[in-house]
Amino acid sequence: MNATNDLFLLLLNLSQMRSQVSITKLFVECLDALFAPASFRLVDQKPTGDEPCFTIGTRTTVYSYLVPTMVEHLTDEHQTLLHNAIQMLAVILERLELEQQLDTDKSAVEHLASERLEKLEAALCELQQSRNASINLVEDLTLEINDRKLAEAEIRHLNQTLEERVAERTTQLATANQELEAFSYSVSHDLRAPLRAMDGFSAALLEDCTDALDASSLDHLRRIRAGSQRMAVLIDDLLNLSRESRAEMRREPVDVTALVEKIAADLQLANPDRQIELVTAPAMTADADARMLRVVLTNLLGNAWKFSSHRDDARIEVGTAPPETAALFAPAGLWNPKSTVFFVRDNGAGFDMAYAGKLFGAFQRLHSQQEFEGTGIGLALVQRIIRRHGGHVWASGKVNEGATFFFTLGRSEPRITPQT
Amino acid sequence: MNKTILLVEDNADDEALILRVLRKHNIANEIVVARDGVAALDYLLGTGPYAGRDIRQQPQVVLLDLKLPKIDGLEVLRRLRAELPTAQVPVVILTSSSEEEDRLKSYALKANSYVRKPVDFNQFTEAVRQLGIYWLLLNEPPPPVT
Repeated sequence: MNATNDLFLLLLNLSQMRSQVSITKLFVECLDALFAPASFRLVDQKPTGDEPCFTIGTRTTVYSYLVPTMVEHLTDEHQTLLHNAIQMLAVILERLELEQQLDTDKSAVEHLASERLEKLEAALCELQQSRNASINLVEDLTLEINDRKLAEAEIRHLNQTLEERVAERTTQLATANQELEAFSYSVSHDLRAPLRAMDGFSAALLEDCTDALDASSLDHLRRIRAGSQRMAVLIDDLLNLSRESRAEMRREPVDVTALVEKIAADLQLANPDRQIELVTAPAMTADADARMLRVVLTNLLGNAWKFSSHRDDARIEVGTAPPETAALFAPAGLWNPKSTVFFVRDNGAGFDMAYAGKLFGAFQRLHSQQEFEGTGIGLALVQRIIRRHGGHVWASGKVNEGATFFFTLGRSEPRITPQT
Repeated sequence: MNKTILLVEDNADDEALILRVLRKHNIANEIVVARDGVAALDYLLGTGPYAGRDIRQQPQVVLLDLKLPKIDGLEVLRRLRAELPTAQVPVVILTSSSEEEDRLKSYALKANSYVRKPVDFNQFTEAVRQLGIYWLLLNEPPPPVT
């Protein structure tokens, strides 16, 4: 019975141990001690042949083999005890293995968990960073929004100031216009009356005292009359100029060719003796104020008519210039390839390009009154009307070889319909 | 209806010239000259210095300048058109003004004619002569006010 107790205690102790090698070794030593003279030897491989051998193992795993020596003398009781002890050892070893397996699994899980934790922490850190970034972004945006609000407020303020200034200027302009109108009215009324008196009383003298006055006095009186009459024309021209600047402008399609032909017919009617070859391009149209364009063309054609009066082979040409030609003559910046360039050309007296800058000034003249009559207001009027249309007018010429006046009408593009 | 002409003209030169032309062309009608708007209305409506004038007798024609002291020509026209005795009296605006607005307003206030005074005395003479012939000889005046 001693052997039973010893084996029980041994197995109890072995079950507490953690090393498979130590367990089996101690087990074999104990068996040697308990069942002497029988002895036991551990082998890894199952011995071949008829040699007796115990298998230390469960149904699933074999741990080792135990080769006994001299066990024939053991009692049956000891034989059973030995068998049971070996089976118990296998169980202990299996349990140990399972426990170790469990430990491995556990540490793997722990490793996995710690890995996950690390990743989680990294992710958290990243999240924190992006959160900070978001907060920064929000702060930046807030700053920018504030900036924008300030800018908007400033713009609103500027707009308001601008509106006030525009309103102010508009008022000033209206006042100036009213003053100008009053001035024009006064000019038309008050400046004309003294002229009428000068002319009228000179005429009365001429009528009443023809016999009493000598030739030179009569000439003086006639000169007074001519002077007052010329001044009256100048006043009328000046008024026209101011009126054209104030008149309301309304664009509409204008048949330029028809307009030119009508004006030329009027000129021919007024000067039936003149023989002029007029060449008008067909189907010219423009988007312009019809009345104002008539003033422009009347002046340009009238000038061409007047300044070609010394020639027997006078020729006047009205048309639209091909862009490349127009560009050649246009002063820098005055020519926009998009707008149609109209021209009025004559082969008359022409002018010196050195004085081209004076052409469009009010009361500027390049010819004497004896050479060609005129007040010098026509081209100023033309320029004002063209400018009001947003267009440009310029001229090229040569003394005794004629002049060409080019003009554009701004904004809307005049259409040139091909002749059918 | 008398054969009087009422000339409303503040400019002494114009007055002298007009009178000269009328006389030169043998227009012998009585010419009353008013040198401002108030005087014109006094004459036409029989007030002020003309109190007691028989206002059934109205001029054959009124030659009315627009730019006048005190009351301007358009206002004179408006007032006389509003009064029965002068509602139909022929009024010719004779002015230096070439302003479109003056012409439109004059016709709106029922002026009978609008003539711009030419500076050229030959043209001026012709204009006044034609006015005299037309309004004093050719034109049949409106019926007298009863």
